Amino acid sequence: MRTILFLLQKEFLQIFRNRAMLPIIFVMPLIQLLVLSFAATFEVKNTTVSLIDEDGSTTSRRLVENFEASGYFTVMHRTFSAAEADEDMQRGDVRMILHIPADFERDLRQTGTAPVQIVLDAQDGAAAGVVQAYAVRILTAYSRDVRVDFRTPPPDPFAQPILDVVFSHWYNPDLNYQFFMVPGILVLLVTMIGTFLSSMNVVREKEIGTIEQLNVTPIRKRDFIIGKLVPFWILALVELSAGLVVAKVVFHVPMLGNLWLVYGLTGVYLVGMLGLGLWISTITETQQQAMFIAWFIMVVFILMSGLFTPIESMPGWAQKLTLLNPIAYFIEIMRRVLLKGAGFWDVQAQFWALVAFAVVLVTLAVRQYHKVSA
Amino acid sequence: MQVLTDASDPNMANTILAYTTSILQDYQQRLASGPAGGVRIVPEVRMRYNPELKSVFLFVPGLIALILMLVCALMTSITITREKETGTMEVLLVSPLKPAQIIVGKVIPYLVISLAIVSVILTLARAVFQVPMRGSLTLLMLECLLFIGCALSLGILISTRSRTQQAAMMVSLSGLLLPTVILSGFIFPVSSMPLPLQMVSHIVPAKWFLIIVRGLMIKGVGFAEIWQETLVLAGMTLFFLAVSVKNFNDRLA
Repeated sequence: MRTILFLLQKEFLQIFRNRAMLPIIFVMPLIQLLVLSFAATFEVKNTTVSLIDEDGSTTSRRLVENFEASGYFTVMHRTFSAAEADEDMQRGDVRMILHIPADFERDLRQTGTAPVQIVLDAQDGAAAGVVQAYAVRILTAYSRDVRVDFRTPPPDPFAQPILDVVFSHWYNPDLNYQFFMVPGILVLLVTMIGTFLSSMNVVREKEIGTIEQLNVTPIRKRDFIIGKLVPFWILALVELSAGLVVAKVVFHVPMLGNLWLVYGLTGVYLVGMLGLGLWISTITETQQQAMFIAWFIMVVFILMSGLFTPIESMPGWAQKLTLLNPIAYFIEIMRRVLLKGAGFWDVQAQFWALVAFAVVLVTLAVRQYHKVSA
Repeated sequence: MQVLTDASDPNMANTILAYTTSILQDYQQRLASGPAGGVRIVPEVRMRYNPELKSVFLFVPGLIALILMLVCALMTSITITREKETGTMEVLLVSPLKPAQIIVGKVIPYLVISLAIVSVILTLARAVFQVPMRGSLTLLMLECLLFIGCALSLGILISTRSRTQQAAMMVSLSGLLLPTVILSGFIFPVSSMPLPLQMVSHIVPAKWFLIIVRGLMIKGVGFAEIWQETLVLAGMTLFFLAVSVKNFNDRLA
């Protein structure tokens, strides 16, 4: 037991003495949290539009005003030439072309329907889909306004059943994207510290050669591993606290669930990720290698974890792979506990999955680690 | 009819609501017996460049930028710094080789590797994901070469200022890779970010490169549309090289 305490003391001394790494460990994750949370949004604001209004009637002009008033669209160019609008899009000046045909108002009055052509720059397919949803919503709302204006008799409710859709967004009524991203990014931070830094730390000792000095002492393998991993476990939890403070103060993320639960679950998750870091360190000789392998594994896990793209939208094989991804479980836990106020019972399945990962990864790492270098 | 959505993911909630509403409207249309009493503006939507809304179109150019940054900037900075750290740089410097020759020798292998990687990615993108190549391939390769040059000069710059590999690695990771992934328009649209972040994204070389590559591959533009971005990249490369040379002469030589 005393051995471990000495080892911990040595580790912390080394960590704090390493001047270059200190800002990386403490400042960088917080900057990342701030920058990423502000940058990471799949909302599409400021869609630039090239407008071709061949009608020029009050109705068409009011439609355009509605588009601009929504805050999502900005008309950059007005032209009568489709070729010119095309050029605008090729140059990247606009992302959408709104083409109102010549007899728009007349058709609406007389037949009740009129087409509007929308061409979207779909390089970013998902964003284009989002913009389409916005546009359709604006058109539908405007159709209703226009009906009032034209004083068309309202449809007979018996000939025409009217389905009025009333919706309510739970947990996030303002559709604040940051509420969704910040818990996930907290997971990212904790994971980086847990896996990256711990693996690089052990390999650094290997590279410098001080690991030999430790190996010739009568330190037990178990004590050595605990001594190496516990500091980063503690550091990661400290980071989590700092991250939670930022989340509350800067982003006003709701924290409906029990914070002790969050810490407890993070602790379990970290054991698994530290095990992963340790395992990586046993198979690499240089810091460069460790960093690359850790980076590769992390990137794959993160991209597949449902942090940026919903798991439900992934192809079948990817969804099955998510079952093997500890990050996916942890992100689910964070979102449920913080945003929805889930209790331990609600996240039980995820908890047991994390325990399983921790056991497997640490066992793997410990078995692979030998005091004698090959 | 009340629809309750789990809005912890706002985009999902929006999309689900849109789907549900349109299904309900569809159903309403089918129930309707008489003529439609009401006004409907019918949107005819055309998705240009990517009618099937495939997300790979967005990803592949960004991946090229990311991997080039990784190989060229990160690896170059680490390898030069490693020589400094282990002391073998001194040995090279006392030889009759000029410092510029040493650096060029260090950098050329990564240039060759990068070109090979770009070719592999492009071939895979075409063959497996059917990502189009609507512009000129030659122009694309030239622009890639320019970006490789930019990334290499960044790697050299970082190495002139780092004493240990760890420091070089961390600076590259946090100062290059993370901004490239987050702020360059790789995954998240730059136009949706708050203004200060948009300003910062102007100094991320990958941002300009992405506009060029996406323009060439997906939009099929010619040089006339991308000469400004090319100029920016060239300017950045020269700037990084100039600063590196100055640093090198001050410190090592």
